Amino acid sequence: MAQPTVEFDRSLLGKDFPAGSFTITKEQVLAYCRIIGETNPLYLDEQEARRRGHPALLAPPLMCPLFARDLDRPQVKLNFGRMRMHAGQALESFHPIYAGDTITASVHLADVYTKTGRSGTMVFIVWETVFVNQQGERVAVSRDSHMVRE
Amino acid sequence: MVSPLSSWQGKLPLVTRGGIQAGAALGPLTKHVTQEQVQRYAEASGDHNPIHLDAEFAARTPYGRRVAHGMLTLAFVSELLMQAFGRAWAESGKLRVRFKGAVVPGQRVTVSGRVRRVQAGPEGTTVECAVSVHADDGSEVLAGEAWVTTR
Repeated sequence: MAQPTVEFDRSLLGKDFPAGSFTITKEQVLAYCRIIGETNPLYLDEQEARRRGHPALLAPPLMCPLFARDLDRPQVKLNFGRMRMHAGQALESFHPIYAGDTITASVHLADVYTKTGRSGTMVFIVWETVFVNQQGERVAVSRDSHMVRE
Repeated sequence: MVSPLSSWQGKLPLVTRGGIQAGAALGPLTKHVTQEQVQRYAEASGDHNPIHLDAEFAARTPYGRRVAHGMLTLAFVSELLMQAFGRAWAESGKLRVRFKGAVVPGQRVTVSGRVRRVQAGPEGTTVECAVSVHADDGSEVLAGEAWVTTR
């Protein structure tokens, strides 16, 4: 079967874009934990977190990629597909993230590739986002892969 | 409501118990996913993809009905790793997963892991784990790996 021609803005590949910043508040950490049912005291009990040597509540590591959704990403301008699903996720943490941290993100389009299987053609779009805290420390890198199909 | 601390008792992280070995089991952790939770997750995350929220739209997709956000399912994996490794997970954890199937709200999912390898290095001991999430029909909806380095 011939691969369909998939067009997108190739000039985006590998180019870094500032994606804005966000502050993770204590209320957001508590609300996030409530929604997912997370019960670890390091996320929920500030006194306990301080007692164990942390300056504030720890934020669950996945809050960074979650908040990154609202940041500005350039348009891929893909001429394909209607349905989009999150296909894969990678995350590397380098430094703890605390409630009250202001995180600045930069994003780049890491890869776009096509796979054709029994159910038709799928296009995968992979974004990589680097998160830096207010002290200039790189706290995490997230790589998310989205599948687009007809 | 059960206090978070009372439900925590007795679950000491693997690392404080020492002696992590290949083959050690993480979890399992059982979570019940509801449409209300998916709704609230959509609001908190800003991910309003109709496949999670709009029953009519979702009926026309290959899934045939609304499904939970992959990141919500992944949050349960992070919860399991935090239980197993404590602060080391939040400070130095890495993971890589594939979303293999849909979690349909109303389902219970089982989150589990297994230590694959324990390796000493200059920065500490790195524990490599396989992680997975199964829906209650037995299908694997998420699979991947995680790494945690403890000093």
